[in-house]
Amino acid sequence: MEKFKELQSSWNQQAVIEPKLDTEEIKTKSFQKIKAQKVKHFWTIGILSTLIFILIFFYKLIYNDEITSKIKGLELMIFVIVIRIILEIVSAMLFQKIDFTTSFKNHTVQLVTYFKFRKTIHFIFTPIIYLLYIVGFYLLLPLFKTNLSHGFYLYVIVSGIAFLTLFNLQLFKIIRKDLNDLKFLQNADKD
Amino acid sequence: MNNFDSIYKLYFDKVFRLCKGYFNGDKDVASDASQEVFIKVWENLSNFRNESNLSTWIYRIASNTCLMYLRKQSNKKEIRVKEFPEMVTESDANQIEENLKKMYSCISQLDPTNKLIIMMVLEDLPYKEIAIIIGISEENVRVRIHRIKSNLTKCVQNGKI
Repeated sequence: MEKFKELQSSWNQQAVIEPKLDTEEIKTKSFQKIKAQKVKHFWTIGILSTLIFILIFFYKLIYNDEITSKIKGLELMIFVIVIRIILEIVSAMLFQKIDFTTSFKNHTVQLVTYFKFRKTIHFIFTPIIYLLYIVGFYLLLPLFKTNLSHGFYLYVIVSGIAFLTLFNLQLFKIIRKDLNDLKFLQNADKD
Repeated sequence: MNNFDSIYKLYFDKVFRLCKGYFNGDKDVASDASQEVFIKVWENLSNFRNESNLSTWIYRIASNTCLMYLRKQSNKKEIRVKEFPEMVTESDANQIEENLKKMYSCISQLDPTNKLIIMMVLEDLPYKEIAIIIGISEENVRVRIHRIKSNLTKCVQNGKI
């Protein structure tokens, strides 16, 4: 272990580093971070609430006894979006609860549990939600066909497919990232 | 000077070196990660209840924060590892510099837990404190340290763990 002592000696001879920021700047960064989190939280809730509000408004606007049976698709779409939002909120709350002041092992176990929950969302809940959303959209098509011009009807179909394609790509990226994170953390916790 | 100021002054360099070891000696990433550590320390200092040593508490935050950073990095790019830089040894200073580069390269080849353990050994933390920070028994720490020291020494000599 003589050689190791040499290594330790080299380690101890590293130059002392002066921090780039002073404590006041650290505190300012902390306030900025909290403010940014609040703004992000506000916008996330705001956008999702607006989406639900628009869908409910649209539902109420076209609601009448004659066509009620035909708009089950819209109800289904609202329902699955609400479920997805609830899952995201639960997920964010679970992440916030992870204790970063606990031991390294315990922290890693908490992260692994969190990412396993994310995996369950991705591989069980998301496909069901996704399929129900498509079914909801499909059920709405006859209503669109009857009430919209042919051109606008085609636009709804094309934009709907484009939205689902982009959504798929985004979803794929998120799932791949979460699975990579889980694999990384499981490797860190394998001992 | 208030409590946070003195903590920052006392621990910044230690935390920075720990983070640097996580990121193969990359000073920029280590600096960002260290800042993040002290933002968390500042935000949570009022919750610190003296149930553990202050240094244990700070090292726990540092090790967990650096792990999170390493996780983010693993999604972005592979951190440069494996090969030692070519250096001409002309003096003791160069020898130390060369040793350090080799050490960072070798440390980066260890798994996250062993990486953390050896860096705390290099920082002269007592085994008992290392065990509390990692969350394993002191006996387990001893066994691991013996193995890691041997692997690290060999790696610095021949380039691979």
